Amino acid sequence: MRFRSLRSKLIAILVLLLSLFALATALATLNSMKRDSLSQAHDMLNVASKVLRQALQIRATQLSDSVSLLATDFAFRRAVATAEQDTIASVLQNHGSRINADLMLLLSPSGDLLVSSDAQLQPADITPLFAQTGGANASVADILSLHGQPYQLVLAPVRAPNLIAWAGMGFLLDKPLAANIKAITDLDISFVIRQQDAFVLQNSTLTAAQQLALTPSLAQLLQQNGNLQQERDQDYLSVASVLDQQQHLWAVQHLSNQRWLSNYQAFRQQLLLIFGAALALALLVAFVFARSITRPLDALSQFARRIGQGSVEPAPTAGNDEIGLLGRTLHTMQQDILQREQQLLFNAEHDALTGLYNRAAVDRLLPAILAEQDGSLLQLNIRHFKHLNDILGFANADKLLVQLARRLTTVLPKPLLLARLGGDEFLLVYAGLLTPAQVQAKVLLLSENYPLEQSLINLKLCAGLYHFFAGGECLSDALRRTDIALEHARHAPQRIATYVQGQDESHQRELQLIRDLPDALQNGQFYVVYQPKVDLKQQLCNSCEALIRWQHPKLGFVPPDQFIGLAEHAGSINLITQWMLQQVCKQLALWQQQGLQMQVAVNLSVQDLLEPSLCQQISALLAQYQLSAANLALEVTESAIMQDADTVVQQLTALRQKGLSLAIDDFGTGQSSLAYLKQLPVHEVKIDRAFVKDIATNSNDALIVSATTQLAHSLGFKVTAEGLEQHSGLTALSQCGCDTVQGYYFAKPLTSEAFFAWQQDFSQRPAYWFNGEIVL
Amino acid sequence: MTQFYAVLFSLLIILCGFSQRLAANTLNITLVNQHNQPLADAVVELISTTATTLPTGKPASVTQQGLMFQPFVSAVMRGSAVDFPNLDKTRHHVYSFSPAKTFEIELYSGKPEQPVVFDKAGIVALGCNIHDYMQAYIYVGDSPLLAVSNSQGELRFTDLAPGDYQLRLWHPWQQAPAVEQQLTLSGHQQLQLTLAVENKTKPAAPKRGFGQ
Repeated sequence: MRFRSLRSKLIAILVLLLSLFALATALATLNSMKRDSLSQAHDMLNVASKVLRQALQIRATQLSDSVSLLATDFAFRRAVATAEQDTIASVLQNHGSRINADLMLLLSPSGDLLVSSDAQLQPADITPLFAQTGGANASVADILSLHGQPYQLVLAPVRAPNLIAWAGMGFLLDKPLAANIKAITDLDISFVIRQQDAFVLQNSTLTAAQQLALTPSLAQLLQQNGNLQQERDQDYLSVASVLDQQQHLWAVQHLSNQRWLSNYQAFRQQLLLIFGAALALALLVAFVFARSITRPLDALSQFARRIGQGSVEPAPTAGNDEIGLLGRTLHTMQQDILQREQQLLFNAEHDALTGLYNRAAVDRLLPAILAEQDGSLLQLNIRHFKHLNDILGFANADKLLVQLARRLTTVLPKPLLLARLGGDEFLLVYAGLLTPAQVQAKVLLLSENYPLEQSLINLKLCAGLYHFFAGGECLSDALRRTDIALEHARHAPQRIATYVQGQDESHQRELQLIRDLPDALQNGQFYVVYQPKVDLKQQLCNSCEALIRWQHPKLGFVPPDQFIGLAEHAGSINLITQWMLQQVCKQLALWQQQGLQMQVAVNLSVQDLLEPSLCQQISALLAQYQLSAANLALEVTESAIMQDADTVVQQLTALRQKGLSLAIDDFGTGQSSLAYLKQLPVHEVKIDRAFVKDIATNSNDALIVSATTQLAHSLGFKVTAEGLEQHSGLTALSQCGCDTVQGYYFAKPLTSEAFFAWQQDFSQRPAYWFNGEIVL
Repeated sequence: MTQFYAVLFSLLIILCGFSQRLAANTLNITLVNQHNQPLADAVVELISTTATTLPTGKPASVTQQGLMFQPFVSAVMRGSAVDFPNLDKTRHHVYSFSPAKTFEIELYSGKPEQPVVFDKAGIVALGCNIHDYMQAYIYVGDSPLLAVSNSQGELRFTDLAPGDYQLRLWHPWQQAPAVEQQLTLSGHQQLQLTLAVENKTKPAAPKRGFGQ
């Protein structure tokens, strides 16, 4: 059994204990009392038995006296002396009736039966009693069973003056006697006679029904020699006393069980009553006591639940006991929780370093501001903060940030919201529309003279400004647009930019391009175009550059400079490169079947070069399409090489060893070091179109191209000029010593079929291209 | 037991018979009980088988003195008259329901008007109706030769004619009637008889009473 509540547990324990105690007490007491009562009853019966014997003895004495007296009556003696049967019979009758004898008889001095008032009486019946006289001349008395009747029989000598006879008088153990003994002993009595192994009750003071009930158990009782017997299923305790020597006669005395049981039962009743009352009282007390405990506990439990729900109400009042202590502890806990909650809330919404609001706080607070009023979002960023970090160290950079934050709060007019969005970016929200000039003024206040390590530091701050109008913006849009403005500000001359309608859309377009790119590669939205490279000396075209094109189903044609940079940023440039290599190899194999021997160059991003498995991939492709490594050329921008020169050089060396041709693209625009250049394991440099397109008219360009070509040749590199647009440039490039030329003058990038056609055309009449002016 | 005593008794008689022939006429009998102690109040009756004339009984008396009969045992010949003088201050009521003689002298003092004649041989038990303890016996014999032993257990017959006699012995407390014996007398004879009796004491007046 399980108790759900403390109260029922308490009550159960109390009741159980009390019940056990009461039960044990009651059992012990009742047992003892029962034993005592039974013992008393037994004593009472024993006493009664003794009293009975005494009473019978006294009666015997009295009867003896009476009979003796009678026997000395002169007339009686004289009558006996006549020896006349009739006379004797009548004098016996006469004198016997004087003392109310029930049986009269006369014996000779030698014990022969002379006369008897009972015709059935046999001499043998008297013999045992007569034997008791023992020759003495004194009267004897005993109890005998004569013909089924219990008698107290007295034999008295008749002397005249010598013994002439024995006079016998019998007195029935009758009802008056029984009543008499009952009056003395206060117990019912029955006389029992054995008749042929059956026991017959006689002259009992019990009622007929009781006698009937008692009879069956008589034999057992008497066989136990009259020991006490408790008749469990009967109403009486009985004791039997044997009356005669033949053991035919018994007196059985009965003590009503009811007499001692009634005391016992009354006591038991009382005990039950006391126990019941005590139990009820205990229940009541336990209930009240348990309630006094559980009620405040319940209240505290409710209170604890409300604490969990964040309630700030005070604890329920309680006393000085344990429960009161619990209440006070809960109250303290509540206070602690509130304090910690506030701390957590503060931490959650504040920047640990500057104490300003953080991004989370902006998320929570800004929507309300956006909804209510027009205003300006101003996002500030420290230019090259990473650089500052490197120079000053993190600790000092942090100090700088703290100073900036302090200046933001103290120097500027108080904004609606000021937060540090993270790193070196701060957001200020002002009511009203700020103009760039106002922003400029603020930035000026913030930029200069930060004391750090005994020197003053000036910060270059970028500011992106975004105007919002009440209810028109959602939080993420507003923040994103501010961020876009800031992004623009980085490149703006004053480092301040205001968001212009549409900037967000181009941003969204970039996102879409990045998102769509992987699928587009699979769906055939991309295709490859080839731009021929013409060998100036041999006037041949046996190489070309493969370029990627994207025809987006919704956005239309997407220029490579839009998505290549995005793909590099997004890390998906590898996909494009692999796709390109695959397409190019496939095309090369096709062209070889068509009898066209061509070396095709594919542009690699720096990320491709950092991919260790690039070599294996290319080898696998070449093997797949049964191509020679000489068919494939790879172009790498100068700037790409510079990002991780060592790794790139290692990768390029490996590719070169495979037999691939390598070229540096856009040569001349990057900030490459000549020291690196000489180490590069490339075959070719491609001079950027910036120097080539105006070479015919711009003598500086011609000079640069000439010098670069000489330099490259001297380092052992072939030189390709990109972006030749006019025939006039062709001569200049020839004079500069360029080996190959690529540009719209010969052909713009062509599809594979168009390129094949162009190449056939070019091969048949190269002089046309070198001698005549081609109008594009 | 009874047989044993009878044999013993016969033996004694034979022994005494031889000596009596020397001193005729006198017969001294000593009576003892079974413990060989002197037996008082024993009655011996000699019945002559030869005598033809019978003397009449001599008068006798049983007095009442000190609430006792005196003597305790008397022996009288049939036909004798016995007087019952009352020497006490109280009256007595002498009676007998014995078959030998039933009589009653109702409350009297002094000498009764007339003696009682015992005309039939037998034992007469005497009692007093107002003093139950008073007892006495009268042996009524057929022969005049009757004697009662004294406290020494002795009794004597004198002037006995020699000849054959029947000897009857009786005592009130005898355990069994004694067997009648034949005796031949000649001269003086000394005889000792043994009779088994119950051990009783003679009835006596109670010590306490009404100061008498």
